[in-house]
Amino acid sequence: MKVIDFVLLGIIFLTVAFVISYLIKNKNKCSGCGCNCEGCSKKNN
Amino acid sequence: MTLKDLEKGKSAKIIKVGGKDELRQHFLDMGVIPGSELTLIKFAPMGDPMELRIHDYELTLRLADAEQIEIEPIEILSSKTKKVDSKIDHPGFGETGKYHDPKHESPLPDDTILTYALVGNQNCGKTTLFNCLTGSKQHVGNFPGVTVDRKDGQIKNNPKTLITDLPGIYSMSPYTSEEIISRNFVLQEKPKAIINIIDATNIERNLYLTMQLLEMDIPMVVALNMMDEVVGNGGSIDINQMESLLGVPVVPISAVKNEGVEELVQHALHVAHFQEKPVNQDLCDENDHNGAVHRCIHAVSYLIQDHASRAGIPLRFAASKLVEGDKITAFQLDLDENELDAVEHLILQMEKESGLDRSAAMADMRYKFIFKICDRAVKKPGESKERKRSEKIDKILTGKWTAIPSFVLIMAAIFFLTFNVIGAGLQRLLDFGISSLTNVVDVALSSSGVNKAIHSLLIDGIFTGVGSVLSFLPIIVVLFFFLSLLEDSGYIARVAFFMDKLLRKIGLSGRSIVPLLIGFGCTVPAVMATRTLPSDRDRRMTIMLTPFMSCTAKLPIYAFFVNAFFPKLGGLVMTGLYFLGIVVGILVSFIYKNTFFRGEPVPFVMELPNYRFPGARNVFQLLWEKAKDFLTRAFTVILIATIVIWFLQSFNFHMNLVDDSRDSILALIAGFIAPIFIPLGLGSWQICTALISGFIAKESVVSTMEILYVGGIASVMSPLAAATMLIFTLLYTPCVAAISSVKREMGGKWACGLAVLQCVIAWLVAFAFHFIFMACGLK
Repeated sequence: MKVIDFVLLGIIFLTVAFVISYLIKNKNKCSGCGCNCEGCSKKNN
Repeated sequence: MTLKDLEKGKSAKIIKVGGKDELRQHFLDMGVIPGSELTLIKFAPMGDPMELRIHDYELTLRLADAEQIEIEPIEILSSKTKKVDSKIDHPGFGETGKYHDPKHESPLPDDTILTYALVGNQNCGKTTLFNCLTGSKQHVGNFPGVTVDRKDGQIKNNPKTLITDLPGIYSMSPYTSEEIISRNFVLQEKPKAIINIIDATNIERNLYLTMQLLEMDIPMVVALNMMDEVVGNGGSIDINQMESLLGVPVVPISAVKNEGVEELVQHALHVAHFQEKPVNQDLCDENDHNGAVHRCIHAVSYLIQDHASRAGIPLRFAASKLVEGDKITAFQLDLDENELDAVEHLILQMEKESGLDRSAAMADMRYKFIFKICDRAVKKPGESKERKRSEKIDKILTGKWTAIPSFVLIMAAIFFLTFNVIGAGLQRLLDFGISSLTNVVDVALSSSGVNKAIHSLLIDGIFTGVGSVLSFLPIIVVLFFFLSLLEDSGYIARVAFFMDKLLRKIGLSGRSIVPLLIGFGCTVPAVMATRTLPSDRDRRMTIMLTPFMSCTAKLPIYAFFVNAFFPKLGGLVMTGLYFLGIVVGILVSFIYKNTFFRGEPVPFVMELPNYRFPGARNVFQLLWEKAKDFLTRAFTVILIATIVIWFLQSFNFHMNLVDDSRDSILALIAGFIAPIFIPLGLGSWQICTALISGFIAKESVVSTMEILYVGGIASVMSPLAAATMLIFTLLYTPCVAAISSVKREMGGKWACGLAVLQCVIAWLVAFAFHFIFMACGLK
């Protein structure tokens, strides 16, 4: 494997890790669909 | 004579209000009380329900309910207002001694968090004011019941404050589930102060809730909203007089224009910090009905004093509610048998002397106090510009012969503009941009000699999968733009009005149209919007039917198949799918009506707001939220899903890269359920995988197919199979977010049941479609 392969793999890995942690962090929050639920309220505040 | 027999355009005086339990109480709370005058404006296009004008606002109710109201025809409405000319000094902000005695002053410690409840009728501008006060961006609309849940915020530049926006209520006798949220908040969480927002253009009915809030003995400020409209139409309100009569500060504001809000904040901070409670709480007149109501309330007050104190309920509120027949308050007071007997005798005596039953007597007492206030402090405006405009528009949009054709035309125009003109044009543009970027990256990766697997992951997986979903952003934004225009203008409330009779045939009330229309946008807020429905049966049935309204997340799927198989029939196929969803929903509702949800839909008692121009800021705020939500999903859930699917279809169980995806892990797993779809002509593992991924997010169906069908889908699937697939995806289980919202509203069993039921219905309808066309020799 070349250096560029490692760099690309690293970027993909970090992106996936970031996205998964974001999804876990927001697991119990609402989808932010813009409705007036409590979750959206907190999100907007 | 009953209200049902009144002719269009005629006026009458209410003699007696019949009906039972909560509905009757709701009528009384809405101002339908003996002695009130009303005018019948019109009947809905199908003859039911009717629209009438009472206390300067428009109310709709069904003929069956109108039959419960006895009336006496009158020729001319009597006017209760006069010119206002007050000499009362303005108390001014913070003038001690006006509303409380400084000797009894008990200011809260400086570090206390001042909690506020923002309380008011539906559609009076609470959320607009909340946004002004807190700087937040909550969604507002122009129909009763946009807010279905409480939400908290901090007043700008006042860190030690917490204000809670509550769903709109008409009185402290809750009628719907979101009204219970508001009542419980005020009674149980005991905010340090209440900000009572009143629609000044409809002051009489709005003050009814104020009367009950005054009895709560909680510091309060009244915000007279929409004062710009009142003044603009030649009306005026003597604020000083009103303050002296109510015994609380009154601040005229215009939440939309952010006028008077700063003064309101100052008053709110002051009354909460110094705990200035309302001065006047005795609303009953000693001379009214020879003092029957007055004596009864005071006698009951003495009798229950110790119980109210123990239960932590304000005495005056407890006494009024007990006399009114409120069962919750009676239970909370925990009176013994003798006391209950004594209370009952007092009420019976009051009923005998006043000639009114308990609920009507209490509503009558409150409205008489309101009329006194309005008589002294309010100069009503002439017919407002907004009202005249609404009447003109309504002649067409709710006219007998024009209402339903207008509705069909409006919806058709929205779909045409979204799918054929604006949305589709923008989508092609974005798609071109994404394809160009993908090509550039593809060439760059190839020239750099990047590893074959990484190249495939980036181009065939991420760029193809996420890119295919992203290109549908314009269509979704455009559709939401039109839906928000309908909502903000006040048209959706009219649709509920004229669709009531039709919806009743399938076991629902006209109010159910609001969540169902929201369902065309997204099922999650649609399920939440059912909280505005007053009966549990209607709410559950509406929730179960919302998945039949095709949500915007399914649009990428439709567009994907239409582009590949039916490029010249785009509008027709899309409209056909939406129509099919509605038709299947109607058929299923007949089954629900006779099985799970037996019984009658709830009465249709709803206020019709005036048409308003949708606020540009509000509309663009909503569009931004939707776009942000869509992009977040594309770069989170769909990104992960595409990577997982790429991995599963590129590797076998030995973790070797496969040359043919038929040898992949995915092919093996999806192959197990593929036989179920053979009768539909969809028995391939790729389709099964796409459908499974659609449960996470509907857009994933497209990204998965893009990954799995590298050479394009048109070469491996027949147009009939594509059409069957479209029908299945239209009707099968909603995404996991929608199922969780159903679980929150109805419980786990119903949520699982809905997911399974939708799959079964989708399979049956798709099978029937496939079978019929196969039998006709089409492929």
